[in-house]
Amino acid sequence: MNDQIEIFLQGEGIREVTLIRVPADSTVRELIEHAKTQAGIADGEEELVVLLEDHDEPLRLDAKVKDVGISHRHRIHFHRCRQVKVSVNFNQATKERSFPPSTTIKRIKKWADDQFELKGVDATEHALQVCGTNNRPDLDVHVGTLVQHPQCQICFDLVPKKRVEG
Amino acid sequence: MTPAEKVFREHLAGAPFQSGVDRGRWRLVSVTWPYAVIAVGAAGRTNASSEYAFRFELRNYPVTLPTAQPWNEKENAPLATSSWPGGTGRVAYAFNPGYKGGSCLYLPCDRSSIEGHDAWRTQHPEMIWDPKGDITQYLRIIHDLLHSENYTGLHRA
Repeated sequence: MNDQIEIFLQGEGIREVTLIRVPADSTVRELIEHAKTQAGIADGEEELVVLLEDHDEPLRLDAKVKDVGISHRHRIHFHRCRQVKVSVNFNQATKERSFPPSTTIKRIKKWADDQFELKGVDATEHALQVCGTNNRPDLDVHVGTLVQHPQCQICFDLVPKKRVEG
Repeated sequence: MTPAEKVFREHLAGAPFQSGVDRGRWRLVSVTWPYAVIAVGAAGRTNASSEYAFRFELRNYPVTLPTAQPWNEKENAPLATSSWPGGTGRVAYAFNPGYKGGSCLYLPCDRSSIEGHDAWRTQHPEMIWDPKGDITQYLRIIHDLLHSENYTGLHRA
């Protein structure tokens, strides 16, 4: 009997992190097929890149998942954008950088804090909010889930977390 | 099992909750419907716990928003005021044992607290309960507070 592993999946068109089960000896290409069935990702394998969370290099489609470091409850990202151009606004200044779509908001927030020299309480009391919305993605969210190919870019405002009072 | 409990248990098995479990952000302690006790991890502070348990009251979940209070996991009782999380700024406001006798957290996602606070819907839209979401929307807010630099450790009465 084939051992099964669970994979946390995020990606283009997947609104919320999803848990899929796949045979442990699957290839990355087979992982895509399971993701289509279990998580409803769109066709277009030839355009998709598959990445480990917070990693830059796309995985080879013919590689076995176990040979590219994927094991039980690891985190994978599917997207057609190879990079996402991120801009962050704070105090009338803007910083920009491109990240792989598998980059967590936690990592982007850390980068933004460094860019704007926010430390300690100043850092923890600000959050990234998608420009023009009330959406403050959780630190776990991959930035790729927030964009749709071919619009491989996103804008955030760095906003203060207000105390609840009144 | 009520439909509400069935949905809640499905959410516990779902990816958003399990993702948090896997990262050590929270863990399920118990479910005794309509209550669930969930422990949430906290940033390290001197002489303070690495996590705090909260008892959620979940009737008509997720249509009706939950209410939660700090909970003593071992005694299965409300947490003593001196053991509540404490701090300054928004942390002190959220974990306020003097509000409604310590029966809830002072947050827009809490059913007891939002009563009479309609202005919060526009002031804090990011913390308003979404009935299409799951319990992690409340847990993420608690987790964020417990990782703020304004969180200083145990509450000082």
